[in-house]
Amino acid sequence: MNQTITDEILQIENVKMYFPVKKGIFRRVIGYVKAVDDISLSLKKGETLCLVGESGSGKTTLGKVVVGLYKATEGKIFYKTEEGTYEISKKLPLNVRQKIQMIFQNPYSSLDPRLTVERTLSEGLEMTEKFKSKPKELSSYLATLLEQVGLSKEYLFRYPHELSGGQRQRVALVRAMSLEPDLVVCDEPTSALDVSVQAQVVNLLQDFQDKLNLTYLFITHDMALAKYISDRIAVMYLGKVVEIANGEELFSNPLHPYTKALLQSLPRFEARTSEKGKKNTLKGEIPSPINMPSGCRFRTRCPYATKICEKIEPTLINVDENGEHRVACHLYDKS
Amino acid sequence: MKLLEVKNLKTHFKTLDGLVKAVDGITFDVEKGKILGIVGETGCGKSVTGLSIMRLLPSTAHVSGEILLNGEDLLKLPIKKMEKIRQKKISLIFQEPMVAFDPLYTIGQQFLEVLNQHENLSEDEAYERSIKMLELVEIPDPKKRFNEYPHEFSGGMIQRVMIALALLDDPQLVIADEPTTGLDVSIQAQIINLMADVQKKMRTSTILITHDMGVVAELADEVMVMYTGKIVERAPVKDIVESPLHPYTKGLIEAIPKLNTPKGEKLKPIPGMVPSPFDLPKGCKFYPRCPVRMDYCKDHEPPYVEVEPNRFISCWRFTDKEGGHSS
Repeated sequence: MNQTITDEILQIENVKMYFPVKKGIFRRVIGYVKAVDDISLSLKKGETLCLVGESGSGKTTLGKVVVGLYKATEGKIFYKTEEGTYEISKKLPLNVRQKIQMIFQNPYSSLDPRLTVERTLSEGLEMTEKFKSKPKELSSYLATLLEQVGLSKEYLFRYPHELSGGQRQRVALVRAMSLEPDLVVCDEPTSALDVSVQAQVVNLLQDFQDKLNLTYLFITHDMALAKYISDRIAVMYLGKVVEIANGEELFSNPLHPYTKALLQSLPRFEARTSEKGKKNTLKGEIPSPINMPSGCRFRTRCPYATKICEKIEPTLINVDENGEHRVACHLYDKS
Repeated sequence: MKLLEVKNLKTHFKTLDGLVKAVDGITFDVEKGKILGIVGETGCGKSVTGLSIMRLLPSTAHVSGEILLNGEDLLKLPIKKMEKIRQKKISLIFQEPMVAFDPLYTIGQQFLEVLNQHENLSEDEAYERSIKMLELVEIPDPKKRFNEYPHEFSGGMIQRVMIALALLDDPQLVIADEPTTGLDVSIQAQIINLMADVQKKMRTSTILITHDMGVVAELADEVMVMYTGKIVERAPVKDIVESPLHPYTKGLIEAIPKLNTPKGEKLKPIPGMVPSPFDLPKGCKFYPRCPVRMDYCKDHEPPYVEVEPNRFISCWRFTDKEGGHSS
């Protein structure tokens, strides 16, 4: 898979997404929820970048900004194709817009209960040049797609309530893939599914990636899944990326105290060697994104916090020569 | 010492489409002070097993068999007595604590309500006991939190409160239905630690219902794997993790991406789907999905037998056709 990774497809530059908090009869703005706070990332064509972190860390918000469902408060996102570079906004031309798709977390709410599978799937396709007013071609195209995910074409005429969770997620998968996208944002696509079904969906995602040379921005809180599916992993905490590295490196050499703690909290699937209930874990919970701690955001839960962490917010610094592994922590700031 | 013995428990639901055998003839027991994990996919009957023990099912459910708590059959108790058993002897930790608490009352009111129902305590004593319980589950500043409403708690905190409420009357058996589902890994680890801690301190027995093999591996002493309302395998946790025997157990474990799963290697899902409860296979229920099936399995249901001490399995691969076990 590595040979296909060539050039950049998406560039996220200093993106901030603030939601105002309003109070009183005049809906005065009293503060902001800083869901995503100054994130810069770039995705190369054909790679899978995983965003991991606890709930409330801003993973989903960032995903929605990338597909244009939210308009970023500040910062820009560029989508690069052979034809040119486009800034993600409402004005994106339709043929570019359809190259960026999203798969949602909950297949029970992401499919319209009143539409048959066929209606759901053809809504987007009917807008394209290829299938405009060509219902016959369209339905045979859909039948082949459904077959690829292991559903027979009878499923075209079913409603979502007639399908199991795994089948629904496969329909959602087909909906995203039918427009032959380049970039797909997957927002916890398997977290509502049983493990045996999760394995089916993950395998399908990888098949599609191989076939269409897709780029995935994969959002998950399951570290083991992240390691398995990703090329690189970005760990998020309270709207910031605190560490980014390729999967192997992150797991063998985690640097940020938060990454370390996350890895230690994983339920290990192996015979317990120690007594039960003696896991090392993080103390406390993620602070409210309205009243952010000063300096380093993680310092309130960090076992190594010092004076400097209170005052200065750490920035991402390179750990290795080629800048593949980056961490935002004063512990590793040698300057 | 066995605290709970369940013998040939059957829970069937009459629906318009036919009879659903949600739990179909399971036999197991829970030792004093031990944690029994029940795992399986959605619809395998694990939650219904828990609710059957509590007798909290709707009237459409038809429950038969025996559920012996300290030798007393819960299914034969009049409903008034059963109410005393709930909470005093058995209590339940629900999957979604946010939904399980009444949003209109403070946590404190809901704690006191339970204590008023079950014990002859003065107001002050009940308050003391509640605060002590909240301290046990490590709620910071319990006296202040006592007067707060459920929505003021975070997901991890409200689950702690739920555990405190379940343990309020010092029950002998706690049934925890997916206690960590929906929580972040770090919070999940905190809750796992807490449950192990509290269980050690109070010497309660626990039935831990979950679909997460990882949680079971961390917490349980014994594991029971269910499929379509039946137990397919039961063994000490170490054996299940290191050397699962039943092809379904193996399949469940192999489907999980693990930290040492090499990249590029395909995950191994269990082929097919859980069969519809109206259209179960005739012989072994796992036959259509089983990678090591034999012709014999198609029409003959395997018995649930002890193949090694403390190791039960329901599979023809490990059982003689006469009913004894092969080696």
